[in-house]
Amino acid sequence: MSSDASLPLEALDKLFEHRMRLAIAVLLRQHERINFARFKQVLDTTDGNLGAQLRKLEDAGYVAVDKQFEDRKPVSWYALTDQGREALKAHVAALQQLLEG
Amino acid sequence: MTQNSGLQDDLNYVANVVRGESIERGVPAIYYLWALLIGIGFSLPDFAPQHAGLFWAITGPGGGLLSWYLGARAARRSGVDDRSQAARYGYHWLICGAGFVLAGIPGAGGMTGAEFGQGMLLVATLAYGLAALHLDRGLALPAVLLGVGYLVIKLALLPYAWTVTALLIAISLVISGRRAAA
Repeated sequence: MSSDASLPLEALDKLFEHRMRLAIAVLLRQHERINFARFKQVLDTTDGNLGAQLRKLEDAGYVAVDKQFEDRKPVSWYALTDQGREALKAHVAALQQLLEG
Repeated sequence: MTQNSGLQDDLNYVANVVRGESIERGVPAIYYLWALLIGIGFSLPDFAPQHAGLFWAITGPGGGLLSWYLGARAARRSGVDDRSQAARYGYHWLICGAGFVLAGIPGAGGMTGAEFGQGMLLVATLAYGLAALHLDRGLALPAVLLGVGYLVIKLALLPYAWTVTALLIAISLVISGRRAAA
């Protein structure tokens, strides 16, 4: 493999190589805050899987969580951090470069 | 599967998720609120024209504030808290509200009640038409009916044209509300 071809691959963010995590970041790029229940509905996944993917993004500092009580029920709201926004931007640029060859 | 086709699959997945999520729907309660206000308020020029101005002076800003509250509540319940979108809605209707006020100013200088009402109807047509284009497709039919109603009233083609317009717009808003609720 030439060094030119390997450059975009190296620029890909490992965390966004999982498509659900990439979708979460893109959705949060579009909207300011989204709660857990909405993610579950939109991504059509289980609580366990979604929670694990969100936790990975949270641990990396890409996503911030705000836990609140609404109508006496706990609701977790997620937002993209500045670090997450930058990481997504770099990942999408690398993807574009890779797909364009 | 090649690496590129794997990536393409992932991007298709993300695109489908985003596309499915971004279908913008209005808030049913707001449609029903304005169906009621327009149904009553637009009929007044035919039956009690002396009360139409006061009715809209109260229900215009009041309905706007109530719509803002209902919109914010619906957004929280839907699980998406998008302040930039809320600001877009807010500025649109604020500018339209200013349009109603500015269009009404010449009324103090000798405009007849009928001309005043027609001016308001024209501003409402533009407000709903632009909202249908930029914010909420569910307002397209009410916007078209507002425009048709404006022409019919302007050209004095029908008796009770205000009431007919009011009923048609109210019905179209209820239909849009039911679609949004589905």
